[in-house]
Amino acid sequence: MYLDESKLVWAAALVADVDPDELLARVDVAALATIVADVDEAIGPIDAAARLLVRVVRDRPFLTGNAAIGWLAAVEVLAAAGWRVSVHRARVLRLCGDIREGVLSDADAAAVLGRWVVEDGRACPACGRRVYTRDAAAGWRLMPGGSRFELTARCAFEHGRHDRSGRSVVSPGYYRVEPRRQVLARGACGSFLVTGDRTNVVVSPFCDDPPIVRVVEVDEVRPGDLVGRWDRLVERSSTLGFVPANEARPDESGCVDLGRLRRALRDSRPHGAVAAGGDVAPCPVGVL
Amino acid sequence: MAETKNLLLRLDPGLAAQLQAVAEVEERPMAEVVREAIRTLIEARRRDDQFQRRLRDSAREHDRTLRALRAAED
Repeated sequence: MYLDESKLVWAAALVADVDPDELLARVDVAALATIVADVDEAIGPIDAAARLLVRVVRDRPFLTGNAAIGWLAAVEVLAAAGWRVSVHRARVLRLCGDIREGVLSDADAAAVLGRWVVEDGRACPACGRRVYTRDAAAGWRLMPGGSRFELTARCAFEHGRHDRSGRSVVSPGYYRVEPRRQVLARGACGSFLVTGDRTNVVVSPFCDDPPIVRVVEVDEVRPGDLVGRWDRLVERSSTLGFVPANEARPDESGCVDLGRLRRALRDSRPHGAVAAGGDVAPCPVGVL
Repeated sequence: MAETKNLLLRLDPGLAAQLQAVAEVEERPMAEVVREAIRTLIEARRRDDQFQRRLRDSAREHDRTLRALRAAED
């Protein structure tokens, strides 16, 4: 079902700036029910939106503002399907005028609408997920200068399934539960390496306030990796997630509870959300 | 005699029969029963945050178009 009477009343109430209950008392409910029944027979969201616009503009079930109500309700039907409409208002005015004069059929209106519909947001170059969907802060659309780097970083912020470079963030579900493990090596700015039977992890400071650490899974540690900067070690590894620093802090004996760390990773927020919550201290894995 | 109004509704036969039964039992016009049902749906939509946000976002995005449409109709 694309629409019910209540959605149409809500759209009308928003356009008329009145309470929906108040508006309902003055509306012809039979006309509304007939429109909804017609829309329900549509074969897709665009067809449904077109039928809705044509019926509301032509049958005028509301006292005033029928074209505006029809347009907003049609946009809502498309938005519910994950689409948005990108068109200049002059064209919408012309479309509604043609509908009112009976020049356009349902199919004609659907064909016109179909040309204006775009999928909401933009595709991430790294993973294809949609970003900038319905984001008022982004001005409803991506700025012309939006590059693949911006889209990838934005996707990391919104979905958190890869980092800002597009490297995938391995699901914490694959992380093995292991007992407490001794810290093998420490970096200069608070990073440390813990090795286990199956997994090695590097924990490094990510954010100072609130204290957040990044947990990186390292498949293999070569002797040269721990000499100087740990960049090479991190480059060929996958970020597991971002957790509160106290969840990964070594105890007095220098051991880290990997079971606790795993649970924290499972409950952790996407790192974009973490970054948004506080100032990010750019702290690469340190030196020995 | 109270003023009455014919109500033309396209409903499937089962739903129409139920609607008529409710109207007869409660001794209310069918339009009033339909209005009551819509009012219940409106209340449900009031608590539907996703729908409310989407509708407001759409209204904001198409604000100029909506105002132009209203002006053209007046």
